Amino acid sequence: MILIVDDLAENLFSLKTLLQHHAYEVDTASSGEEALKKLLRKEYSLIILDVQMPEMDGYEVAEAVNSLNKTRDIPIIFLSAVNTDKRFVNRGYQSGGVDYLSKPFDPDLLLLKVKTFVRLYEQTRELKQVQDMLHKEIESRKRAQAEVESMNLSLEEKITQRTRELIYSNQDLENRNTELAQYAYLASHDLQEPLRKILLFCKVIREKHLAETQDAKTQINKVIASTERMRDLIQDLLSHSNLSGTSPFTKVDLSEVIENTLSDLEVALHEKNARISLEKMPVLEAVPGQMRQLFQNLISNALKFSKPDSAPEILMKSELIASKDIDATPDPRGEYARIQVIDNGIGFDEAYRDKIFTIFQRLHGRSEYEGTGIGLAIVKKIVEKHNGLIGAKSREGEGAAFTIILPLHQTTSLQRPE
Amino acid sequence: MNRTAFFFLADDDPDDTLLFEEIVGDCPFPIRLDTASDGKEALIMLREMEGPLPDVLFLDLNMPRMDGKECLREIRSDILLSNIPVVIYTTSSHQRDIDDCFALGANGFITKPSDMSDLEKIVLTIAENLPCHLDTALQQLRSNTGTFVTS
Repeated sequence: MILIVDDLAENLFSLKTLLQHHAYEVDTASSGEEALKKLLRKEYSLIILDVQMPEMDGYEVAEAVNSLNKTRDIPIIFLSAVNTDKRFVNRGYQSGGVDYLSKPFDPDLLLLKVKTFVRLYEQTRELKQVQDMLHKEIESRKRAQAEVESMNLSLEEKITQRTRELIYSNQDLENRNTELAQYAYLASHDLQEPLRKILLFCKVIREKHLAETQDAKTQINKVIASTERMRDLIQDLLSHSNLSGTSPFTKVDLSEVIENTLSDLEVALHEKNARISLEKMPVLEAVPGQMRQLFQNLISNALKFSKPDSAPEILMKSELIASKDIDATPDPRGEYARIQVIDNGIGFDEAYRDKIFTIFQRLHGRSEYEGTGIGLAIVKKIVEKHNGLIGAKSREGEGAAFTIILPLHQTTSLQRPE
Repeated sequence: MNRTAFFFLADDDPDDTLLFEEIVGDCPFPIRLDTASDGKEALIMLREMEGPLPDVLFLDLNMPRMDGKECLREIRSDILLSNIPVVIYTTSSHQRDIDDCFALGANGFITKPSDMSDLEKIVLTIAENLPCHLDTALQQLRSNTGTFVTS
């Protein structure tokens, strides 16, 4: 809509008629004051402004229009009878335009200017709308991004917190594990002491006082045998719980370890008249005490389950292999050692192969074969703590072969706790 | 043996001390045995001792007031006592205890036997090999007793 401002009604009328004739919507104001009121209330695309008016002249109206945000961009055409004053040109509107026509004016020229300014105004407005939309779009994208960022942040916080919680509970678990291992150790250790006394004094009684009383001697022998069994059980439990900690890996010569173990078992080997063949064993990174225990248990096991009618024969051999696999092919430059302990004892049914490594599992009655049922469980645990594998092959009555795969080098300097 | 061997036993267990004394008393040759019932008492007795120091100190680990490891540490850092041969004499056969004791300067580690005849062998073999051959004695004991011995 175009606003025409003139104090003379006839001027307003002729201009209004002219513009309406050319399909423009027109509004009129007969004073500067009225014009400003209308400008604030409605939207206009052009102001045609008479310069000479009483009270508030055209320039003052233009000044007011220019100072208001709402109206600043509306173009103005001054209609002036006097000489055009150039100061408004220099003052300049930002996006609107300003122009001058002297009275009397040429209607065609006026129409031309009106057309140009209205189009300019429309374009500017559209541009502003697009700009506004873009602004809004940018704003909403910024908001979205901020949201994503804050979500990321809170996600990160959650992850950090969760990680912290996990570390705590892990720590807690480790502490409890250590506590439990210590508890088991202490309990076993303190249980050992009275047992040792019972054994010691029973033996003293047997030697000193029961030489003549055969019945009492038989009975005290039963006490002693039970006590010894309990002592062995506690000792094995102790060893098993000791394996829960972390021990450092060092270079261990297995030949040396096995020779020492054999000398520890000398009495038992001699009693059973056992024949031992020990081939060359590798040097590898291991926990020496645990290696000793491993071979002690395997050799004791072979002795324990020997055939009653023939002397035990135990063969221990090793070779290097390329991969951590029970059946891997030999490779002199391999990183793993395959160690075998083969005996000619009673063997076992392979259906029970997994059971023999389970703690407290026994395949035989206690009266036939001694043992606590922990020995092979310890062996398996030691092998696992050395990042190795263990397997067993056997047929009932035809001996057993235990195969152990151990890496020559460990990747950590300490054993991993459980 | 051309002189009396001198044993010192630090153990809080009166039964073990009694048995040890009994075995020492039954020995075919004379052995002097002094006893203390904890590490602190042992240390004080050793520091106040007039005349020669013991040929060997049997040291229990788990004792009140001052335990065996602490006592061993004190002995090894005392210039007058540091040369006494120390054999740990304990119920434990735990690897950590063994490692700790040898790191502190123990000469041997014997797990208390559950057999009088083993205790007899321990006392006799060590007495026969003193004063210079403690290692030899421990090696013999390792192969001919049922108890755990290491050196």
